[in-house]
Amino acid sequence: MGLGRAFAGALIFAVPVLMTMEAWALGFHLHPLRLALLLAVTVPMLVLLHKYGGFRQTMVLRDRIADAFVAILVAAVAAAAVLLIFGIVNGEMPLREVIGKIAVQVVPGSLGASLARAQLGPSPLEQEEVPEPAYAGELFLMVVGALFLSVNIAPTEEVVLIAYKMNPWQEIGLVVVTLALMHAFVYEFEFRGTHNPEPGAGFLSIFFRYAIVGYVLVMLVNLYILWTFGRTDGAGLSETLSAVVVLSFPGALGAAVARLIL
Amino acid sequence: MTKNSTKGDRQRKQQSDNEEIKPGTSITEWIVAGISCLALLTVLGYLVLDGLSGRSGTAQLVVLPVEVTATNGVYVVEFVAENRAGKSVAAVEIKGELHDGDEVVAESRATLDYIPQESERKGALIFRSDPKAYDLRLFASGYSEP
Repeated sequence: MGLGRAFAGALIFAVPVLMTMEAWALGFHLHPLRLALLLAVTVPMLVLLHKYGGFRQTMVLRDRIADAFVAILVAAVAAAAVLLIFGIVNGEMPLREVIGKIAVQVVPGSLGASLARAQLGPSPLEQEEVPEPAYAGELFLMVVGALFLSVNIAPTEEVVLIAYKMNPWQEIGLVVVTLALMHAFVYEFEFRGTHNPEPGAGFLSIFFRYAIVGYVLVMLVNLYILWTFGRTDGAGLSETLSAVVVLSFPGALGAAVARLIL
Repeated sequence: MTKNSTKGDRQRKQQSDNEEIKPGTSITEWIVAGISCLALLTVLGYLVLDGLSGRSGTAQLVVLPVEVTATNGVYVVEFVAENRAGKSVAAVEIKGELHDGDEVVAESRATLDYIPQESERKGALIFRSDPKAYDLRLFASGYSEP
């Protein structure tokens, strides 16, 4: 049951990347060491994420580590299967390219596999056991939420194209809109699953400690993702910043609804 | 609701001393908020300066050869195309010519998808004759706006 759900989650969340041309190309032009680092970072992130929800009820660190690796394996198998069926990956390709193509899919896939329980499973009964995240935990969930959407969009050519088309004033406008949306999504619209962390806390307090801190974290995550995918190579400061601001729009939305989807 | 708040209390008790002195808004949290606020203001400040400086209307493209490698009877000239102006360009056509005096002995071209403002992109041109024996000229022959 849990494994089936994990496969379903991996498929659902990796499908946008699985069907993106630029993601296939990443398989051969991504720097192998950057790819290795991305995979290495994924493991502790999943371990930490399983504290707040995984595909089975696990509270012990050892189980969470095991679950993280299961999520990665499930994601890799699901990605390999789909790419084989699509004919994107075949036996005649150099191993390096095949591994690259599948590895790019592992981040969204393993996140999906891990979130499958929270998203698709019957969670209300188990909710009692899941620890309520503290401030650092909330920020961590925001980072994962950002990664979740960013990793799907970052490989596409559109991110850089939009960045080239925008002038600095439009970028400032985007930053302001993103911040406003982030704050509104989390604390004004009162979606299911969101909560006011401290009843009675004022607008400014929440805005500064969640929206602004969250947004800066989202920007850092996106800078890392863009670097991993080679989008910052040879780019000047303005262009890099511009791409980060563009990618932070979906990233921030992901961060804002992190409590909903995670 | 009550369930949530008791859980929250329990959580808070496990937190550091800071948290107990002033539940919800610890000094650490305000420090994190302060640093983030500064970072965000820096980004916005940079964008404002960038906006005020204005982006010029034409791109300034400089193409420089980096390395010439001979492989399988052909010569690969790797180059760096630099865009020194504040305007991003797309579909940049890079042309290379081997001159023997006034005569063009060989030419080759490559297209770069994008060269963002104040950034560089790498590429290579392939010649059949040895570029070292001639006068090698690299230049951008055209671009489109992204």
